[in-house]
Amino acid sequence: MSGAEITALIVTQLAIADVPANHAAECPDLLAIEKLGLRDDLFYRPFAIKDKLFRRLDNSGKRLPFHLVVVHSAVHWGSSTLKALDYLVGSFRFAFLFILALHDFVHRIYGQSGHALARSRVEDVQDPNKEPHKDFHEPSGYHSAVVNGPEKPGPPLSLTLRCRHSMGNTIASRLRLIFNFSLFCFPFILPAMIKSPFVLRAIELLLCLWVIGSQIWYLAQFRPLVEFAARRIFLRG
Amino acid sequence: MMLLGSLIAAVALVVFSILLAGAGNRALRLLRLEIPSALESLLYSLVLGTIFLELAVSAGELIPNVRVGVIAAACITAVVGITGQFQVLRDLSAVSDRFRALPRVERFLGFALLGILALQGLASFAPVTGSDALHYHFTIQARYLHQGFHADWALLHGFFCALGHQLILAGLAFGSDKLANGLIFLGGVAASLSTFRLARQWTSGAWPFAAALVFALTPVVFWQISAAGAPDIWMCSLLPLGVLAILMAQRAPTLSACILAGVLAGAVAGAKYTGIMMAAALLVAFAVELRSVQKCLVFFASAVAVGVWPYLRNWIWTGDPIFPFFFARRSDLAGNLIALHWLLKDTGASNPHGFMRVVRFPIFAIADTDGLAAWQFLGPLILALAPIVLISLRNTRLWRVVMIVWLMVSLAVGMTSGIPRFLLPVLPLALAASLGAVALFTQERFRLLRAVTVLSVAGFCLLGFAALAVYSRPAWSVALGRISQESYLRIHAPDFERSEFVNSYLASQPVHESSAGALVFFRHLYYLHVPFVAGSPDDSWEVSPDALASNQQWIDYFSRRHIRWVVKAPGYPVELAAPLERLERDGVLKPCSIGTVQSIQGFRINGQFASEPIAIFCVSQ
Repeated sequence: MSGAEITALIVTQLAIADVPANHAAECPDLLAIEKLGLRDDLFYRPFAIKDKLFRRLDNSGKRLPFHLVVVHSAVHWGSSTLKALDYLVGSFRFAFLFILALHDFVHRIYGQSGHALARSRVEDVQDPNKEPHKDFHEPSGYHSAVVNGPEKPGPPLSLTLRCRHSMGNTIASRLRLIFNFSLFCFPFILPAMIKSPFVLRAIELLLCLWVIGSQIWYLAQFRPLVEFAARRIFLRG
Repeated sequence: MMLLGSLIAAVALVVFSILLAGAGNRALRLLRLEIPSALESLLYSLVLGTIFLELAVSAGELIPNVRVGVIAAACITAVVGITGQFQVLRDLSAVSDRFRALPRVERFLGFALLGILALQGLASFAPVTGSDALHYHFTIQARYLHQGFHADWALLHGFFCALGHQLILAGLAFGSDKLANGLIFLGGVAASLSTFRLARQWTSGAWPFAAALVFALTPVVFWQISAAGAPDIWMCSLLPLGVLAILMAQRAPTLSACILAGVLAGAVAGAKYTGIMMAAALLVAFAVELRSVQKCLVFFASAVAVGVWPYLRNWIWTGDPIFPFFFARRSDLAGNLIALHWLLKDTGASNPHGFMRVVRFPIFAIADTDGLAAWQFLGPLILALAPIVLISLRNTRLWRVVMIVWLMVSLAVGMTSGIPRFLLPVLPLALAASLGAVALFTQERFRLLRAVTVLSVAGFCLLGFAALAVYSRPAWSVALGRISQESYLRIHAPDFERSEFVNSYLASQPVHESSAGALVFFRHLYYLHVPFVAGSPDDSWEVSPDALASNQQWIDYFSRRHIRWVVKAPGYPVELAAPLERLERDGVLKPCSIGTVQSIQGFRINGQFASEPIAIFCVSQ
């Protein structure tokens, strides 16, 4: 599994665990990922969790908004994405969740079947400060790693990575296709995420057209009434 | 004289409003609720005071002399109101100070809103002309005052009367339909300001004023506020205030805010059958936000305590708390099933509720097929701004509560009645959320979209004002005394000339016949000032074509109901025409007075009249 995939998983798990944002921002595990040099990964690019994601949330004192984390774990389009997140559409969250789940699932299987999760790598991730790991177990059919943060005030951050062995390459390749397709669909489902001025302008124009067009449509439904009122108002007839 | 009457009514209404707010403020103090906003405190006070009056009148109408009981109830409310005056005046002063400190644009919009409400208030002082008001909203209350509190099976729509109708009863008990109309108008004022207050939860500046202006200038709204004579407009203030109370309950650790939210939900439920769905939506939103069984029980108990009375009355009278929905399912019915059918049709219960039609209700994208239904014109802005609302949705308390109530109520209305007008109570929520969403969404970007929205809102307000001016001009004229009340009613009140004809004939009859009444078949009965029995087979449980087929059955019916005259204007109802014409031929009915009256043809808005014959037949003894 690549570093970015681990990043994605960790951040996803972070979201699922509903960790408070201010605590998550201070959590050394996330810093550890950066320290490990995952920045060079193909998927990672200029995506920096601490600086870009949590900086905006440091002062909130609120729980990390679920959708923000989901987006950050699923999208790797560089820093410009981050500002565009303001446009995030609430109703698209289900689409996000669906794609994320797909993304997550495919990567787990693909990562497992293609590269296999290396124990040493996991240990590196879970213990960047060379402290002994507290819990590691390997049930039949699964590799699991529980990553515990070092002792600090506040609730502990506990992340679990699970990768299934038994999936074959055929299923993985099919899922990869689905994944690629979902990536293809992503810009269409979530146009608001793109910061491109052209796209934003297009969205704005579409909304303007809707605002005007829907009013015309509505008034057309009441055409006899509108005509009657217009005659009374303007022609005093 | 009419102008003087309007002035007196205006002063009385202002005094009454302050007293109602005082009574409500007393309740707020009992609950020990601290409300940071003076305007919100005033709105809660006014609404709670009105609920207090409604409940007091509900008790007062039970005594044999209904007028005395209702006046006593109003006086008790006033006395309680006096004790809360200090805080009300302090809140008014705080609101006034705050208003004066606003920027110029907002002050201008505020004055515009007040001006429009004042014009609507003036229009509400015109005599009642709303079709449903003349049919039962006002008629039933007037009959309670004259004949005592009783079940009127000759006017089945009377069972629809609920808590809001107690305001009409209170006004009529003081001998003033202006005061009754004024109390309905007060609901419009509270609704507009509640819209403003709710919109302020999203944004400040001019947008909340715009939301309130759009609300006040929506044709259905200004019709309901000024001319309809129906108290439904109060639901438009109860629902947004209920939402605000739920948000307050979420912040406050005590049960008081839960009681307040429950009382408001109960008042909505008690206002109309569709209000039950609204109260249920408020309960769901409350449960989702507070997640406390104890608080939910407090909310529910408060709601039941306030809203149960009309349903209890119907249960005692008919055996069906939500008459006629369960009543119609009984298999042992022996009465006029045609009336029951029409009653169900009027509620929309028997209308088709297709999926594609229902899903259009939340965005108010519904119109009647003939396109002339002004009473369903809720405006295009909710539909136009729907995508922006969708984009702006956030997982916050405010959005959650508003969306739960908005979606639940609108879908429930679509699925049960299918009548777009019943969406009216959700309009404040939808407008506040839509304009709030636009304000936030276009705060830093999308200037073009903001401009288009502002133009749409401004255009809607201008056209709405023009429509208000055209629609209300005759009402303003009569309220200001520029035209006489009679000439206004002849043009705008359906069946007014028929009523006058019957009034003048029966008034000329000997005194010993004063207890006898006339059987009338026309719909609009409020201006009948003589004893009458409503005989429309569309609305009377007694006048069943099957049960009244023979001459003897009719004679028995006339005798049982003390009917001395039968009014034929211009003909008899189709279902009853054959037996009644046979009574004429057989000499049971003899013509006593024949004349011609002007009658409105079709919708009043068309202004078409025709001369029609009218005849009063005397029943042979």
